Amino acid sequence: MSTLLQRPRSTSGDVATSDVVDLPGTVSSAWVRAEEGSRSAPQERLAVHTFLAAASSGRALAELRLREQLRDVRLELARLRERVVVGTARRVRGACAVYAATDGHDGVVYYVVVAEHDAAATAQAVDAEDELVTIFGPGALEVRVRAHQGRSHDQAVPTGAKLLWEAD
Amino acid sequence: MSRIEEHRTRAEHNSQLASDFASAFTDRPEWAIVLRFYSALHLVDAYLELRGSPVSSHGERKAAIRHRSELSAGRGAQFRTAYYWLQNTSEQVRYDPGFVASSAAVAESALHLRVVREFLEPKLSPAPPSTSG
Repeated sequence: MSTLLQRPRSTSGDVATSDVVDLPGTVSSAWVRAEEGSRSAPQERLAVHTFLAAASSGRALAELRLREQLRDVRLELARLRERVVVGTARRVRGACAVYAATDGHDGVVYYVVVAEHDAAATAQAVDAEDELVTIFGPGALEVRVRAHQGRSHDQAVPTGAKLLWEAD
Repeated sequence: MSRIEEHRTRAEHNSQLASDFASAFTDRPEWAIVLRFYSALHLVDAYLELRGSPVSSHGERKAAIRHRSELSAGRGAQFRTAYYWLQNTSEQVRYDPGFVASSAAVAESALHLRVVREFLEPKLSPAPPSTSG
């Protein structure tokens, strides 16, 4: 089946480039088709046009691959960030778990879960937040303390918060 | 009444209300912690207003406290710990239905509010008139 469609010929019998409607095809198949039969001017123009369209598809593919690589880099950066956050937040005295949740805007809230609220844990959480803000920049994160009071750790944080670390 | 005075008045009302609440509802006094947090918050807002840096969200308030060395270093560190203890605990009182605030925690909230008041109130008082001349 042909991968190219042509609109009805003009009265002059010629096919204007703008009259060609492209369907997905490959460069090689376009050239093969162009080589087949007589090499009239309209057919040559058609072949060139098809080649350019296919080359443009190649650029799109390259762009797609680049985007995938960028996504991989972003995922790796997010994993590294989580590792830094956990390494810092777990140092809070009595930390049993660390969770992350979005704050409803652009920021992330990290919850350090302890058994009960106490001033020492709060002070260390404040220090941890200062350290993380120094590393990642202001405005994008907060560290808060939550008390599990003997319940499972996830009971102390907002529903949907993601567990980043839990003590053995 | 200036905005600063309004914050101070609201802080005082919330503090008094917290004490009244804890006395009246001895079996479930946890909202006294929330009232004390908001008392502390209004004192912070009065201070930031006085310094010409009014804030309108918890995030802005947090950033302002962090960036002002007088609020975050030295004695400021104790104030900051007291303020965030009140914020963290009051959030759990409000949003975590399984959280139980013990009477010890309610009593501790009064101590943390006192730390905040003793730190901020002198900074909010007008300077005494000069005796020279």
